[in-house]
Amino acid sequence: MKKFIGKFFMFSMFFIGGTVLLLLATSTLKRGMINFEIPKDKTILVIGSSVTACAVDDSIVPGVFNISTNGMGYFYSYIKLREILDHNPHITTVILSYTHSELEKEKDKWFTEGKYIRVHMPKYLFLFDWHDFISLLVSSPYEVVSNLPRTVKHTIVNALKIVTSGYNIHYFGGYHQHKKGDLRKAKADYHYKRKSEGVQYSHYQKKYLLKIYELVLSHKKTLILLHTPTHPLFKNKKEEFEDIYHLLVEQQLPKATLVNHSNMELPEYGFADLIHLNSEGAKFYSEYLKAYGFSSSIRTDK
Amino acid sequence: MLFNSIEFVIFLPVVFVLYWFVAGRSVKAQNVLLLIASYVFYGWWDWRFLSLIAFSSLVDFCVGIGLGRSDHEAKRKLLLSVSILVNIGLLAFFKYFNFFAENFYNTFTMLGHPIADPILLNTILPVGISFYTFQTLSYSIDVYRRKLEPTHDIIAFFAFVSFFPQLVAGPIERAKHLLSQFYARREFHCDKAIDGMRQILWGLFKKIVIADNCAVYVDKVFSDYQSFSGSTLLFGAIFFAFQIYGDFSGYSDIAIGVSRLLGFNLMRNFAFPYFSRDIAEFWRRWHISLSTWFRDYVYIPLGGNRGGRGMRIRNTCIVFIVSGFWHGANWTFVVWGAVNAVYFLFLLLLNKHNEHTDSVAAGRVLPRFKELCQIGSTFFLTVFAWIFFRAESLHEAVDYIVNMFSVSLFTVPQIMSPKTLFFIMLLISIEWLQREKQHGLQLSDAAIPKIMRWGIYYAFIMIVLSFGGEQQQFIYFQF
Repeated sequence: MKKFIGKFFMFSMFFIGGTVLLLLATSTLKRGMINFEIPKDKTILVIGSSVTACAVDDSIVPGVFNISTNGMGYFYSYIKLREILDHNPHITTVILSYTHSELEKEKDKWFTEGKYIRVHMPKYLFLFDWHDFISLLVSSPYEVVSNLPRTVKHTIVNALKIVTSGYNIHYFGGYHQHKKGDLRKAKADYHYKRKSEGVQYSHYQKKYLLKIYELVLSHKKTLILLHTPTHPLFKNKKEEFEDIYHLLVEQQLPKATLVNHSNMELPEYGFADLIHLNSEGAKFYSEYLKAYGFSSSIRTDK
Repeated sequence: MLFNSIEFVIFLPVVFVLYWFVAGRSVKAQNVLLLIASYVFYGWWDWRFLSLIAFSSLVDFCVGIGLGRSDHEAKRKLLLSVSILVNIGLLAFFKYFNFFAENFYNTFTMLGHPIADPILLNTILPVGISFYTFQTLSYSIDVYRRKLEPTHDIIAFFAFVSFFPQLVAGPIERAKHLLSQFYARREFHCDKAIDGMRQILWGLFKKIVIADNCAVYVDKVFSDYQSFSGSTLLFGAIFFAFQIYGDFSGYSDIAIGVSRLLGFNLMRNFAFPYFSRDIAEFWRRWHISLSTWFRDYVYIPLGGNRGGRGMRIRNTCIVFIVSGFWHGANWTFVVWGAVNAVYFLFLLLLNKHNEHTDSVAAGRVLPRFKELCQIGSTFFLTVFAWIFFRAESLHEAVDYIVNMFSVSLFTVPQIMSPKTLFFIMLLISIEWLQREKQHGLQLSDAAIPKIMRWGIYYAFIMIVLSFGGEQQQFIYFQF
């Protein structure tokens, strides 16, 4: 029995050590082969979740480069931004998605839930530092450990592409042309109910929002917090969060500029659902940004 | 609980530690622990199932004691009948009642004399009932035949019936082989335990990587077969052949491997059947525990090889058809059995059913061209039969076959899974190289250096963790 336990222990160490080595090797390979450079004429970086991914078409708005990703919390946006700012000193402005719904308590799931870890961790683990990894591991140990083989697989499966053509900056995200979506269904399914326990922040969203703020300031860039247009029906939800939404910026992000376009009038056909724009809506909104820039006040003149 | 579930990953080490470190000094303690563990394992599906297995175990235990105490032939026959009635009765009630009721109703409707709607039962099929009823029945029959002394150790007997590694999908063990292992204290053997772990890993590879990935493709093809070309349907059938092999033999490998960790030896259930050179050899290598069960308890009592050719044909047909029916309450399984009977009879009539009893290409790396043709043709015969096994109805099976053998059979398949195909080729390659071993990962310590062996195990663990398909129920759980 002692011999068996000894062999089992030795093999377990071999397995763990082998996996760590493989992860380090694949991370190093990926880091070396990915092109982090953004075109020099793009000085405004748009980053965040699906709201900015669907709303800002960077082929229309000059000088803007969009690397937003669907279902992405501020944790992964922070990790991406940290790397991209280091490689692209010509960026002057960072525009971060900042909507009422992104601060909700339930958005903690973007950090802790297996569904999101399964998608994002394999893709971005190579950018983690030890602190990032430990934070994620402590919050969801089972999901992190069980997705390590998937992470290795992700890199091995993509190894050929990495070696032959590398990955360019679009690996990190981009404008997402939202062709699907059903506003009618979204309106029918929307049953607003004010929470009895009151409004609560997402702990992880707030934590990494502050980290993004500090990161941008340390690079001496401008941070704009952008609320993309939402459907008028979403008003109640916004009102519930309105105080906190503004309070957080006033008290903890004083040097960031809040650009709230949530009340912008958009034709109904421009909405994929209550908070996302479809390709028609994105075109409309992007043309507006092209004309008026990221100004806080909403211009209605053509 | 499934073998490839987080619950089992926790359950097994706990049982292992308690078994060897707490109960290890006493055979009684080991058996009690195994009994409790097995009932926890089985009750995890549905605690109500425990009453059935306990009842079946108790009946056969008492029948065994009764048979041991009586020399009176009539009384012995009566006791055996009780065992058969109870075990087959349980099977008939839970598995076949609705089938017979519906067919009874349909027959009269077809004859123009419809009767009232059949009374159908809304019952759950208890997991593993087809396996443990056969296992306990074999005990009663062997005691009746005086091939086995009845046991007076109720704990050992209950633990034998409910032994969790092989409870729900076999191998169907004989009391003479397995029950006797419960009488002596099991000793831990490091080398056997290590090989057991290798076998578990190999079984997980076959189930999670091969079977579960094939299942995705197979389900897509079979659920909408009318939309696909003949070549796609052919691949659907081939993938199903590997799905059922990976699923079932994978489970058996895990069962055998887990048993070895606990100091038990279970019988081999699969011996690389897809390398068979004819159908007779295939049936000596596929689900060995079931086919030998039917040979010993159905074929031989019917007369076996004694009597004329006609009797042999009759007995063979009965065994194959009943074996098909054992798999499920649907005419498709009966026809699957019948198709295999036709294949076998062809060899039987030519007296060629005992030709290939050795390992294919023994001592050689590659098969001869003739052997390759034999393997290929046998494989495709089994694939054809599997279509009936997989189809939901006879109509669907026939329709599938007709669509398959159309002009579109010679076109490029409309959908393919290159990843699954790659792993199937990997499976075939490894099993071919290891065809004279007990399982695919039985690596020789002398022939392969340790670092290389560990590298291979590491690679397979990563493959299982990374490339598994969507988790599927073990196919044979439904039997």
